[in-house]
Amino acid sequence: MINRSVCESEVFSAIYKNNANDLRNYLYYKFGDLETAEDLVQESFIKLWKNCVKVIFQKAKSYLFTVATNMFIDKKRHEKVVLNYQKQNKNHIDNQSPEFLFEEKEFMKKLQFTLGNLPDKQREVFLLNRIDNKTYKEISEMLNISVKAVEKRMHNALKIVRKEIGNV
Amino acid sequence: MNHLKENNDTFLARWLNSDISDEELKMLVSDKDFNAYVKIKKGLRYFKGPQFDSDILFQKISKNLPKKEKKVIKLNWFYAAAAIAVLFFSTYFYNNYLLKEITTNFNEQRTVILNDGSEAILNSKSFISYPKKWRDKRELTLKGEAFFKVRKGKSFTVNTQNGSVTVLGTQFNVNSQTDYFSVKCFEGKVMVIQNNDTIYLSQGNAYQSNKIKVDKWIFENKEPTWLFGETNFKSTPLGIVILNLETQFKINISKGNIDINQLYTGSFNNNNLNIALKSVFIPMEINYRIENNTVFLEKK
Repeated sequence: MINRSVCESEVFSAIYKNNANDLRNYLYYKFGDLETAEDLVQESFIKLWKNCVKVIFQKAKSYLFTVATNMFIDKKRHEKVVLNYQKQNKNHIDNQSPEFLFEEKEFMKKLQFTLGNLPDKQREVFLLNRIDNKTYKEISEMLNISVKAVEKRMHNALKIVRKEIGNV
Repeated sequence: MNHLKENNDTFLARWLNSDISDEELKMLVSDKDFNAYVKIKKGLRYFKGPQFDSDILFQKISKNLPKKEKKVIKLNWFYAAAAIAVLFFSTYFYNNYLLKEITTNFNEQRTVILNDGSEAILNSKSFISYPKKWRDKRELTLKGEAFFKVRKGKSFTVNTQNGSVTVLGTQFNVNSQTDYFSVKCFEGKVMVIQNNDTIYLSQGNAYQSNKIKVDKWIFENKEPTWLFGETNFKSTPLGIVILNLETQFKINISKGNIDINQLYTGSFNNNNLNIALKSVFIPMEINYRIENNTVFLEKK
């Protein structure tokens, strides 16, 4: 696959399979709007196809992320990121009091709100790592920044979340 | 502690990544902050990314792709010779580097001898793919469950959607399903990498994780019980057990009002559906009835 051209439809669809999900979640975490994220994924892949002669296989991923990010700059962010969460399993042996359960619920709601309110740069990195399980190195390659920069954003993001969430 | 101070603006990132332990973090922040950080880290595990049907989007993209112009090349002897050479090399390439893929059906087990002489025994409804010839390292992809007997040699890695398992000559079992991952080491030592965590298992140790929790325990059997027609579980969410029943017996199970997150420990027989249903649902206090090919469940 490595030595083959991006212009081959088989190679192109493999690149799609490997990256579409990551790209789309990244755009959603940045943007807060699913429809726009999917539109941008579509536009980025069409652009990759048009330029398939110039882009080598190994660079396809970073090309996609760069193109999508540049297109994104032209659009305005208009929604808050709201992630869904599943209920924590309450099936453990200890009987938890209603107060405890209520507090737990409030905590998750607050956490959800805080994640949506993180500054863009911190949020995209933080969610790619915590939700999509991308390593710091993978994120640094996607965003074309250093691993150290990813770590700084992770650090600051957690600090902000902790501050916003107050007493727990 | 010096290495921590030097990285004052990243230590939380490194703690999230398990490069810094809880004990080390405790020394850097107040007790109150520490508890909050732990709670946030735990809470984050329950969040999910948005759902996405990437196939539908791909169809849309395919429709919108501009057509490429085809270049016409006049055939001459040089090109013909070149074409034959390409054909020759691609056959060679195909034989050596292309992937072999093997899938098992419902209630089917299959032993696969890998090209280095190692053995993989696939459980039902599982999939394995590996190159026809390994070069630098031995690496393969698994969906579902398999038991491996690995020949000594270069490192041997099983990649799954949940994480990877790496060994140097040993026997181990991997079960990787959606939201469920378990590894049992029967001989030697294996390294499991999941998310950013690395776990080492020696002989007789088992590891399992699902969306809800992570477990480690010690077991005594010499080979996985499923090789002898029995599937067993240790505090596994009922939803996963039901999935296994479905793939083993090729049936549908309608879950009704039961709680699929309650934990089940026990085993079921792979050859007799009635005995299997009894051994799972009676201890869980669940009523069941069979109609056609579907089992309906109901809380007692």
